[in-house]
Amino acid sequence: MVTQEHYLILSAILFGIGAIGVLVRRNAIIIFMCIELMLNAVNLSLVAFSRQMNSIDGQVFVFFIMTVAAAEAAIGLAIMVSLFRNKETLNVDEINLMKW
Amino acid sequence: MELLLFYIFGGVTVLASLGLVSGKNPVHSALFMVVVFFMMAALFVMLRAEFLAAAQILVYAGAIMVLFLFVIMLLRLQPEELRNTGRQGYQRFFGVILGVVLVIQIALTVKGGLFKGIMGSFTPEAVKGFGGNTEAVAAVMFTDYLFPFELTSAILLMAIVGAVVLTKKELK
Repeated sequence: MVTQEHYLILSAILFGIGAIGVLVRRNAIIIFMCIELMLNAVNLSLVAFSRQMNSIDGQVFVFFIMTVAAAEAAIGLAIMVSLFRNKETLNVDEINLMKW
Repeated sequence: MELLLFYIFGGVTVLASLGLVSGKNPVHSALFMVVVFFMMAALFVMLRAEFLAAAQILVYAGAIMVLFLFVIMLLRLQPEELRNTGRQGYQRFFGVILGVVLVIQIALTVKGGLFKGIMGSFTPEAVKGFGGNTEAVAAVMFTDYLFPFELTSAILLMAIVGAVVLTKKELK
């Protein structure tokens, strides 16, 4: 029997891997993919709670998160294209124009 | 049987996400990400959220990852290791430690079992009465969440306009 705890722990592991990726990697596109991974981990826990609580609301939230993630991907990749056009790099250590 | 499937899907998800984080080539990372999305869709089916499983494959594996791959192949990226800045070692060490601590904290919270709430009315039988998961999601989304649903259309419109403006060569 798979309990809710299984799903929540799996979600925590995926979220942790995504967080490690954001902290460790230097390539902006891979950092962006790690953010998508963290969003997915949260989606998994929302759906697990939705089943546990006999409620559909969690699944509706996940649907909204998916649309926002799609919008975010479009904008973020557009930012990366224009960044690359100006700086010739996507290494986040070299993108420091706004660093004080 | 259900437990076995859970461990297969969950294990592949974790392995693929490790590959995503550790891969040198962004294209490999993107392909690992596709695996993660498909396995996540399988887990959604196991949680009886069939509509979300289909949406996950269509939106994430279909649309978002194609966009990612398109941008990766459009840009000529140098391998990240060639442009090492020297601080990599420290960052890697502390990043991994922070991530592991985060996972342990969440796991302890989950094991503490502090989650309580009001049970909803959508029992498996009630969902069956609606005609299935998709119908039940629609029944909630177009009544209680109608305004947020309309707002998402505005968000998507803004995203389209924003992406076009950002990637335009020069604004007149």
